[in-house]
Amino acid sequence: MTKIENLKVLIISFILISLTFIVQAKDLKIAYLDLTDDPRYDENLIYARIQLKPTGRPLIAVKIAEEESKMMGDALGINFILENFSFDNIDNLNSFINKNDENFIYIVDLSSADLKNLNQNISKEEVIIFNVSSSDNLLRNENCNKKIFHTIPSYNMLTDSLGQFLIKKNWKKVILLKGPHEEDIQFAQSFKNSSKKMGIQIVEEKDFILSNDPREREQNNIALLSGDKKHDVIFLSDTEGEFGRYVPYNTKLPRPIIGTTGLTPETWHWSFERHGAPQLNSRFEKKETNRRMSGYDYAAWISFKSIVKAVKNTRSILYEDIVKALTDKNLRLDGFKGGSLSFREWNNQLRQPILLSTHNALIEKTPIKGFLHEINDMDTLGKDLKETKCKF
Amino acid sequence: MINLILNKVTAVVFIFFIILTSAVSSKDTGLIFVSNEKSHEVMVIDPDTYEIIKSIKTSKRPRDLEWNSDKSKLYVACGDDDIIDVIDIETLEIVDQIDTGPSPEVFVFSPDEKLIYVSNEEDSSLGILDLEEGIIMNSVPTGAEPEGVITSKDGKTIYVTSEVADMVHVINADELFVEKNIIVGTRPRRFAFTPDEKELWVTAELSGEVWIIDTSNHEIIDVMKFLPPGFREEDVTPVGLTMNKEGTLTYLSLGRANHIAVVDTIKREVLDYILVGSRAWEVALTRDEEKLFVANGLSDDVTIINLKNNTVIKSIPVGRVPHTVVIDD
Repeated sequence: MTKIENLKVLIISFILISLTFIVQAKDLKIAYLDLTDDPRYDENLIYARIQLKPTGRPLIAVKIAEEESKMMGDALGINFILENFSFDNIDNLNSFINKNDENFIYIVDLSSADLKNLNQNISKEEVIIFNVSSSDNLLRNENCNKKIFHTIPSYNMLTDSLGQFLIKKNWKKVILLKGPHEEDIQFAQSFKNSSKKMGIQIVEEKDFILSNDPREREQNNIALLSGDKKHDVIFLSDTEGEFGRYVPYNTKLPRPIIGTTGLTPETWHWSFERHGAPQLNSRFEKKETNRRMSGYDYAAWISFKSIVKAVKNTRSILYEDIVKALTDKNLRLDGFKGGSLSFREWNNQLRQPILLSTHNALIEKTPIKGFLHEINDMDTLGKDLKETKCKF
Repeated sequence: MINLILNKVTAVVFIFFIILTSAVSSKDTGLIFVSNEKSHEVMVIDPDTYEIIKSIKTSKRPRDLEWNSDKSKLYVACGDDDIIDVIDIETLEIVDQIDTGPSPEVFVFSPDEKLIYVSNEEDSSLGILDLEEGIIMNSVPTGAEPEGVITSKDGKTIYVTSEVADMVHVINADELFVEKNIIVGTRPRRFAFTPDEKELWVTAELSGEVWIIDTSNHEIIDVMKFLPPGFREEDVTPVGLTMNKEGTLTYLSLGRANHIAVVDTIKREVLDYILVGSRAWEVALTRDEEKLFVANGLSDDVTIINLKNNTVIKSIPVGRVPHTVVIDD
């Protein structure tokens, strides 16, 4: 070999080495966790397609987000790796998070009861947990935790959204019907708070039970439950959904139903036609042919997207940088609901529009024009900085 | 003899003149064309009276409009029928249809007009459509929801935005591969080149910015922000933009902030904000650069601006969800 040839070989191998050095991408793992026997996914429940309930496990939506993010990952030199783990019980899930040194970012699909359990038992310091399916108000207020980010709206946000609609329509007299479950009571309480805030009058409040027993007709007969006082609408809090399905058209007077049936405050809706929503819905329906994208799917999808966005903004995959970018008001997350989204720095709740929908149509996007907030109009939904009881 | 030659010359000149005038009269009608996404039509507006003189029914969901080079035909991307309709400007009728990939949104011709580069929103690719064959010859995968497309004048480079991936793909037009991905702001939409093609401007709808790319090295040289009086940052959602021929002024729609920004292209400073209709999107400049037409997607109208004093002449109702506006001049 001549000297020049030697030099060529040297240069080429140098280029090759430096190329492999550049190409070597960093990995960022994102773990999706759920429970094998989650009663919310009981087939009979899913069959009824109850509004505001999950219609299937949201893992598929996270996979769509992962796919959407591949190109950004390539450009940033970062592999966003999605892993999923299912557990028999919440204790095992908790210890997985606490004993794991491989991951620090989790997307968890847990009911309010299970998420509360996790909330009390996270001992690990540097973790980022996304809650995609519990709307519990306490987890955003008294029991908040800076390690948990909420991409699903709180009950407070959902009932404020309904309240704005009632004010707009001037339907201010409401009968409130609530079920016996803890979440029914919380959703109803949340609506009462929204009503008080906005000047909506609850003319009557009644408890219902799911039963055919004639001796309990005062509580199980919808006509008897819904008729005494002059009212414009009936607000129903039935988070289980089995009673609520039969409330419309069984009332004494012809009045619309809102709350958990009829006009419901949704995080996402398959019939939403603006802001790129049809494209996202169609990506979802290509992957999952049996059902349409739900609010839980949306929350799971945007959890993954917000991680990618935070990494894009900070150009780092370190825990502290990601947390800082996530809580930055200039996160500028594209939520496909119009406007850019960000997390509330006081309780890690994703601020976002709520879609008031029937089972097959979007009736109103909230915040409704005219409900103004001094910082961001989306903060008219839920507890803002002045009202929050969360202290990190 | 000389007389005869002179006569011949006169005749030739005369004939030439006739050809020239007739050619001119078949074009430059000044007509304004607006695509309506939801009422599936292209509206034709008279440039003098501003009245609608015709509604041309198209395939479903017409969006982007592009001229061929002599402006004898107007091409209309129809997103829900996966088709490009072709309108003959003389008859104002649809004379041809070209199949595209799923959900065509924005497209451009290659400079030799043999190809159409079309962003296919649904299958996340840039389709390369051969006009002679009338079929998609090739496609280049892009990030999800590709939108804006533009080619360099030499035809060697194609630029495409991906709304979901927050980036601009730089595509080698001969070899059809992505040369580079340039990370920009949130939900990048449309492009404009400065006349010397040294700078490529791209609107980022959700971060409310214009990102300026140096075309020599594909690095970002500047990011501009906008804020018309009385609006908040999150209302500013820029989409359509156009530059004057001199390269001194840029007109930019600000979406839900319901304004047009007039920008000094060289100093990169906002000179003026003009109030238009609701969710202003595409903009079109007349050839004399005296008027600007703006399609307002949420108020279903087109606003006409007098650029001598930056005031609105009129807003004309056009139909449901106007998307793009172009002018035959």
